[in-house]
Amino acid sequence: MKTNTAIYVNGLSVSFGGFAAITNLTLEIRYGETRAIIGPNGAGKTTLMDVITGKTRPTQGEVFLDKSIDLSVLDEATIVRQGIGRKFQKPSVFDALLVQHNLELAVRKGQAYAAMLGSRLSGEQRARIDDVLETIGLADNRGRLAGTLSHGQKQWLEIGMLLATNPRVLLLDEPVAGMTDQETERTAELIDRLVAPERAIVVVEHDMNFVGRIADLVSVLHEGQLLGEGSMDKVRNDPRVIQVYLGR
Amino acid sequence: MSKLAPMLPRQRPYSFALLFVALAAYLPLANFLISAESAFHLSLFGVNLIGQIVCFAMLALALDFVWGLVGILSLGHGVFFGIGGYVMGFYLLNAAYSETKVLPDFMLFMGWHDFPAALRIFEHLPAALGLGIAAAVAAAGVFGLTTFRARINGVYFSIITQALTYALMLLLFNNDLGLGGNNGLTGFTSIAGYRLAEVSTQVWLATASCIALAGAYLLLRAIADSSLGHTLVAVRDDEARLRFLGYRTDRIKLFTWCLSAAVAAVAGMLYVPQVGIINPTIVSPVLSVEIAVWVAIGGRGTLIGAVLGAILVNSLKFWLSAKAPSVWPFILAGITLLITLFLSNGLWSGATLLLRARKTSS
Amino acid sequence: MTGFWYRCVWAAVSIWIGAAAASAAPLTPPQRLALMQDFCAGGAAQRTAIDRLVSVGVADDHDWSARVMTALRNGGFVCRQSGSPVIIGSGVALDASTLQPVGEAPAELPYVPSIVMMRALAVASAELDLFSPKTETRRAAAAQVDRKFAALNPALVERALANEHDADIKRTLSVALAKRGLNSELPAERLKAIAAVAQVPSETSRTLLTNFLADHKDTLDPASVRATQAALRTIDEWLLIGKVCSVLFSGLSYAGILLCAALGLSIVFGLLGVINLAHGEFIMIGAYTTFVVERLMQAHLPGMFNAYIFVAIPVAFVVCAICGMLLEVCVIRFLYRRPLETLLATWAVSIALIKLVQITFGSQNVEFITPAFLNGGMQMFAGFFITWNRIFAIVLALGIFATAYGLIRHTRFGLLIRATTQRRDTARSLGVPAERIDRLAFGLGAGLAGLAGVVLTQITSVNPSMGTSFVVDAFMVVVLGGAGSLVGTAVSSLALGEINQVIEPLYGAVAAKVAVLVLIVLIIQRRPQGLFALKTRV
Repeated sequence: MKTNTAIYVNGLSVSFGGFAAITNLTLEIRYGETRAIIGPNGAGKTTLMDVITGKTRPTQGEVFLDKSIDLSVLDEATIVRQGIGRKFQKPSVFDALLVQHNLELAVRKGQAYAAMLGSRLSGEQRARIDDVLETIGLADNRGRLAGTLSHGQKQWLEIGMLLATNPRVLLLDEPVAGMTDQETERTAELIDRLVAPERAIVVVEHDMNFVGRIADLVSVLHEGQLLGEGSMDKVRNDPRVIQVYLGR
Repeated sequence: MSKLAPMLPRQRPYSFALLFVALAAYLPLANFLISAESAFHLSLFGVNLIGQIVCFAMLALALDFVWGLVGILSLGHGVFFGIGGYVMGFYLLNAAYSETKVLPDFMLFMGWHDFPAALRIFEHLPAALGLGIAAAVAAAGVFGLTTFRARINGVYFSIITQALTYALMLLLFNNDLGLGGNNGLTGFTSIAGYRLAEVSTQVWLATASCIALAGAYLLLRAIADSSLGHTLVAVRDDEARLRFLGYRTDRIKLFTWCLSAAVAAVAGMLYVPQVGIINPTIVSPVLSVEIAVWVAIGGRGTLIGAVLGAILVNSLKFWLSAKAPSVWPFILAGITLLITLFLSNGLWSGATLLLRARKTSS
Repeated sequence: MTGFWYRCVWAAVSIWIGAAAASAAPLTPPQRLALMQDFCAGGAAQRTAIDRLVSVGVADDHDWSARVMTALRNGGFVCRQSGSPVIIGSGVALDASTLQPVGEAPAELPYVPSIVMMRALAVASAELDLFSPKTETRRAAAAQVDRKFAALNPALVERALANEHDADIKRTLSVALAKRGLNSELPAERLKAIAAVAQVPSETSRTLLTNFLADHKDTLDPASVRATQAALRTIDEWLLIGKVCSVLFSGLSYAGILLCAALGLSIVFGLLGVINLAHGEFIMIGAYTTFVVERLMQAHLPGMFNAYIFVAIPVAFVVCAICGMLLEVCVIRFLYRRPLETLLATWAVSIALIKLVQITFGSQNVEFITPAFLNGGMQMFAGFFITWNRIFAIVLALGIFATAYGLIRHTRFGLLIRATTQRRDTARSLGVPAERIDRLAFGLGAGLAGLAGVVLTQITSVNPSMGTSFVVDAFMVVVLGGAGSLVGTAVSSLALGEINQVIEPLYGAVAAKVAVLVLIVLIIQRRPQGLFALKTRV
């Protein structure tokens, strides 16, 4: 049975020692949707991502993929294999490898190393890499060392590496941090291209224009709780949100 | 190490191996065919020296594979070299015994009257070769499994490998275990029926060493250039990231670790018949660090650099030890300091950068 | 029959001892004369006279009695018709009462003892010798008494035992007494002797009882057999406790040395992340500095020689601290944040240092003269013997730890070190001179290693390559305990020291090393930063 819910969080609470990072959070993200999660620093955004990817365990509450796969008991590698891909803030591509080899690593998805010794990429894998290169706009740079790319290009490459694994859920942690306006716009275009009915995109960001540009729905977190949820306009005009966060 | 430096030169990548094949061909020529008066002649001593240095070069190659390519600094590669060497030693003891029927001193000391059955498994050369490699791989496997799974990396890992060599050295020094004790294994007479004292045997051993080095280089190069090679670089530069991509990095590391151990063991097995003796100092912690020094001086991560570094340092050592033995440690210390301070990528990387700079500027 | 005779004689003597104990003054010449005239009178009174001679010698006039006894045995005693007897020895004739020389040799013939008398005199002489001021004489006498244990006089021997302070002689006398008691024909005496032996558990008493049981197993009564077996069990328990304490003690002293060696390493590694493979050589330099100090003091300040170790402490610290800072200035600071290069560079320095010391001092072990107050030790109880040099090592290690702890925790310098270790960039932005802290901390670490070297001179052999084995052990301590944490270093030195000392005698050095390695791998797996991690962020 295929539900339309990608990520289902119910009554989630996470505390570290005495500090409550998230308190009684409930949200639901559907396939085909681009959700932005915003909030001041310390609101619990990164913790939420950590719980979804299995890096942190919930103290209370549930978190599910597809409403049937319990993410709170799986380890990180398994969650990755389930199709949840996360891109971290700091671009971490393999500088010493070529762009195309970075993607190759991603596309092989941890294929058994003995097979890797002699194996060539299958036609399908090769097509996928070309596809991704087109999507992220680095087709001309496939033969460059990843370390020589600009900051923005590295971010796109990393998104590309995630894409190569064809994830169901894409978590992007501040994807445009440190980018120029031009790069930000191109990233927005890239994310538009990533939207698909069988994919959910979750973006954590501070750049409000960017959020307005790409997000279908916005969830606002504050001190570990959900402050408001809705379209960008609705949230922008919500008095509570204005009081706490948006003052622009 | 600069993360931008690609590992290996792109053009004609495998020609380096030809060098050693050529050397392998040259050795018998130099000794047998070229007369003693010519400058190109190599005496038995010369051939033997080259053979030993080539074995060290192979050992350095093995270390560079795990260190330069995968980022695992092992300060205990002497263990695998020693395991191979000792197994070969046991085979040679067998051979000597069947020829002379005289038990080695350490066995008499243990009170044995006959060659122990346990050591008889090394009686035939192919079995000994196989067992030597198997033993090294097994040791590497056990150690690698425990440490890589435990996510022990970096400096802690290196220190633990030092402790391991120290423990093995103590084990081999023990006179009560029948492993030769502090005198090691000596009294070798022949290998596969050929007398070790014969010039021709030594020449063929040296030649075999060169071929083995070339072969090892080709093998490791091939792996480095394959897709597996990409994962190795990825493990070195950002293991967590690679794990995040779904790769079992501890298995990758285990594979390269065991392969490196096998190469080191083969180097040890070729070394012992050429030097005629093996004793516990071969697994001393100091020697294991020295291997890393050869690789560092030559240029780690390039495979070629490791070979060159080993050849350079060991040639210097042989030359200077004869002339001024008390000066050698200072020279080695000086070179190491210079390299680490000013040319941390090693001589080979420095040379290639220079060449490339010259090419782009011209 | 002779046994009975001897027993009577000794019974008599013991009564005399009791009596003689009351009077503690040496005899006057007339008293001596009276005694000797009784002897010279001959007959049954002779034996009594000998008893009195012994009792007098035991009580207060030992020198005179001994001389007379010797003369009697050697045929140098001359009884005179009238006047005092004369002792002739090495050509000199002395008046036996006054011990003053007499003019001419007496005309009478010297006294020649009969065979029976010879034996009596031999035993009497031995008993007298038990009270001789000379240790060697007493030792020989004790051995004699032990051989003839069946005939000894327990009261006399017990008194000798009470007066005795040499441990060996005491042991021999106790064993003699014990043997006599065990071999007594009276069951009550046997049981008492068994109990007495069990009171002093040791290897000797164990052997004694085991032999006793083996020799007499067919003839002993069941009560004695049971008592002996019970006594053996008690002794075995005590011996076991003694062994355990011994192991713990030597583990403690080894831990102390490890602590000194690892403390400096921990501070430097925690602060700088520097793997200093030359650390062992700082230990070695500390040891050699002690050697130089020792030789200098021997040559120029012989009166204060025994204090050389105390002089060496600050000197070695300073010398090694300077060496450490030199190393930092010339090499380490250029390799900041490059741990692998640092490792290789410090290795290079270490081989150069070893060679340098080898050239200067030679590669053999260097001999140290232990200061008088560190010699020997004390027996705590059965099988557990503590030596003063190990106590010194422990005390010094504790002192060093306390000082280092106080320095790091309570001084400004220590605060700066801790700040720079935990958050280097923040500290720098607050104005902390991180480079200078690095230099001073490195010097501190090297100095601490030097102190370890000083301590080691009293415990182990000193040669140019002594540092290399300690480096590995010290690093194990730091890895396990957590770099930068002083308490962690202390705890893990204790743990590793004890493990090493427990396993090594049983299974060998290799097993000990492997056990330590396994332990470390297991613990690092759970806590990658060590037991007491200073930096909690990975």
